[in-house]
Formats: sequence, structure tokens, C-alpha cells
Amino acid sequence: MTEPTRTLPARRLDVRLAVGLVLVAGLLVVSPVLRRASDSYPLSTYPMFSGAIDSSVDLTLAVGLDDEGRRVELSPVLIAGTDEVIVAGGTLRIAVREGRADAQCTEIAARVLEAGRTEIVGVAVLTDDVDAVGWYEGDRSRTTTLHAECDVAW
Amino acid sequence: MVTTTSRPTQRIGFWWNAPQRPTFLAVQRIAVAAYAVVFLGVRFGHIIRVRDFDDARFDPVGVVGAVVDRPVAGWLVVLAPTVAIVASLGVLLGWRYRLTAPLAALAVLWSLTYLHSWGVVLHTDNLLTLHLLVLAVLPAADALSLDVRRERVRRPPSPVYRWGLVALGLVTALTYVVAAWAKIRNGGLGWLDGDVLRSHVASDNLRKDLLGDPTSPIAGTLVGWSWLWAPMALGALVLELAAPLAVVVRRFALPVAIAAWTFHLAVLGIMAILFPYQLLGIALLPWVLAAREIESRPEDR
Repeated sequence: MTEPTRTLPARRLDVRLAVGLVLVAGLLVVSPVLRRASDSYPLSTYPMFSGAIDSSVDLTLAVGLDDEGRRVELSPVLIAGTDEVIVAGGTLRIAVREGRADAQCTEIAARVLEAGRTEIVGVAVLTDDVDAVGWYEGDRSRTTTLHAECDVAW
Repeated sequence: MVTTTSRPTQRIGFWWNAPQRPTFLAVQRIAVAAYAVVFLGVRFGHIIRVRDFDDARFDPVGVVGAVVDRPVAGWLVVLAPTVAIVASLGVLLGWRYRLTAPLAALAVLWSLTYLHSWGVVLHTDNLLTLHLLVLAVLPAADALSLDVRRERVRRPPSPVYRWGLVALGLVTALTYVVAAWAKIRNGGLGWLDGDVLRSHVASDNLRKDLLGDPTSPIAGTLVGWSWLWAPMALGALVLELAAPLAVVVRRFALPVAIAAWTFHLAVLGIMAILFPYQLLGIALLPWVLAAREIESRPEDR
């Protein structure tokens, strides 16, 4: 025979505890704003897409180069070992900012080699200055700054 | 039974004290934990791939930065999300909840903070971690759980469960407010003229395009419609600032949840950015659940 289900007393509400929990949870979420902290995790300032930018944008990229010097698109996995494009872009920006563009280029070239992408003979880390809105309206002009270039060791 | 009254106290938060069955908080627990199990399972390879990253990229944030200043051993990188998945399964089933809930919360906190400690902090899974941390201190396994089944007990309605949902809902709502504040602080009122939002959408899609990632199929067309962006910017900001109404004013819970869900659908369509926790409704569910099962009391009749 199975034991019957017992009804326990209702959980007593300690209003001070309940208010305390709600206040602590709420304060934690807004604390990065109150502390003027930089972005972190999981308590964030959620700065994405908040800056006052215009349509001119510097895009730091890594591209493959074929034997005629034409650009070949590289995936985030080849660029930074991640499938997150934002992480790949951020990794490149940080590498350029910290003067590690050459090392990053070499790292990407090694991944290209490992992936067997034989059509790619070199890698370039560069920044394209583009009018992003204009790009979608047909203006594909860009000013390119080269940070590093390296060969794939086939 | 759900009744409505015109009493101001019922409308502006006094309803938080109305007893509620434990089932509603348990439903939230199950939704959050099920998401955690699937999310961590799907992203497991991505999470442990940081073992292969160059140490120079390590830039610890949050709890990781408070504990270590260099990358941890590879086996620890694998262990943390493994523990997180197993413990989250315990939370999902309501098994040994007092142990599994804090364990899941801490393991997820560590795993995802470590993932974000390599130079770029993403913002699509913050609420999962925050909700698990809050759930860890709530009696969310008082129904629909193996613990209840094993102990053969039943808990009557109590305001405790609703307060738990209010805490979870407030966490969701305030993330929107912080995001709105960032726009006002960083972009100023210029953010509202629409050009800033249009530039962000165009830049983000172009970056993805040039880095070989899927882009929005409609962004190119929409960027050409300059009249569209000022109302969209205003709508986004108003929604983010108004999110706490979903917690405070009971009848706003569902409309604000629907508006927020639509907002994330628009973000997916225009920017190809997926917020799965929000789009599946799990982040918004506490607003709707907290507003359920308000019984009228004699003094309100």
C-alpha cells in the first residue's frame, strides 16, 4: 500500500525576505549603471548598438588571398576558432589594437592550412572604411588599411 | 479563479501578496532548466573550444576575473559545463532541488562567464544565468517535481511563489531598462532620430556579410527606407523603458510580453541576431505567470 500524500502548511511569506530578494535581484541588474562599470557578464551595461555612430564604419577583417591577390572570404572559425562572427570581429580588432596583427595573421594561416583550403595562398588582416548605408544603396567603395599579410605554408 | 477589480492597490503591485499555487513557479523552473539543458548541450562544443585559444586573448570578466587571472586547465573548461548540464537536468526534474539548483546556477555562471572572457562579451544568454541564480534561492520545486513525488507532500497556495515570479520578472524587465539607459547615455537623444539605428543595422549586417556570416535578407531594402527608422528607434526605446510595467501593473503583463517578443522577432528579421531565450518566451514568462490566479479578497469586493 502506498503512503498517502500529506498536505504541508503553506509556506509562510516573510515580506521582508520577499522584498529583500526582489530588491537585491533588481539592484544587481541595474548595478553596472549605478557603478558606471564597464561591460561584464552576467551583469551587463548592454552597450550593443547604443553608440552615436554615423554610417561610416571601420570594419576590421581577415581575408584569404588567392594566387592572383583576390580576396577570398574566411569564416569566423578560420579567423578566430569560433562560430560567433562578433567574437571573430572582436578578436581581430583587439589584435590590431594591441599590435598583434602579425601573430593573428599567422594563426589564421595555420587554420587555413589545416582546413585544406588550397585556393588560399595568403592571408591579410585589414580594415575597410566603408559607408555602410551607402553600401546597401549601391556605393561599394572602400578605403583599405593593411595591418598584416602572411603566406599559407603550402 | 481570476477576477478583476478597480482597486488601485490591485493594479499597482499589491497583488504581489495574493496567494498562488506552487505550480506556476514550478512551470517557470521547468522552462528555464529545459532551456539550460538544451542550450548547453547544443553549445557544448563552442563553450569548450576556448581551450584552444591563445592565452593572449584571455580577458577575464565577472566572477572569472575575480577568481583567476590566467586561463584554467582544459579539463576544468570541460567539467564546468558538464556539471551545469547534469545539475540543470536535476533542476528540470525537481530532483534534490536544494542541491542541484545552486549547483546548476553556479556551474552555468562559471561556464558562460568563462566563455565570455576572451575579449568579447555577448548579451544573448545573460538572462538565463540571472534567472538560474534567482531560482536557486526560490522554492521552485514545491510542485511538478521528483522531490514532491518522493516525499508525497503537497504545498497549499502561498504568496511566496508569486514573489518569486515577481523577482524573476523584475530581472527581465530591468535588463531592458539598462539597455535603454545605454542608448540614452551613449547615443543621446540623437539616437531617436533613426539615423543612428539605421547605421547600426547597416554596419552590423555589412560586418556579418564581409565575415561570412548569415545576414538579414530584408535589411538591405529596409536601410533604403529612411522614414522607417525614427519610429522604430522610438518604439524600441519606449518598449525598453516600459518593460517594468509588466511587473507592476498586472493587466500590462501580457501586452508588454507580446510587444517584447515582437521586438525580438524584429531584431531577428532585421539584424539576424537571435535571442532564443526571449523568443521562446522563457524570459518573458514570469510576467505572465506572476499575474495569474489572483483571487479577490473580501476587502476588495
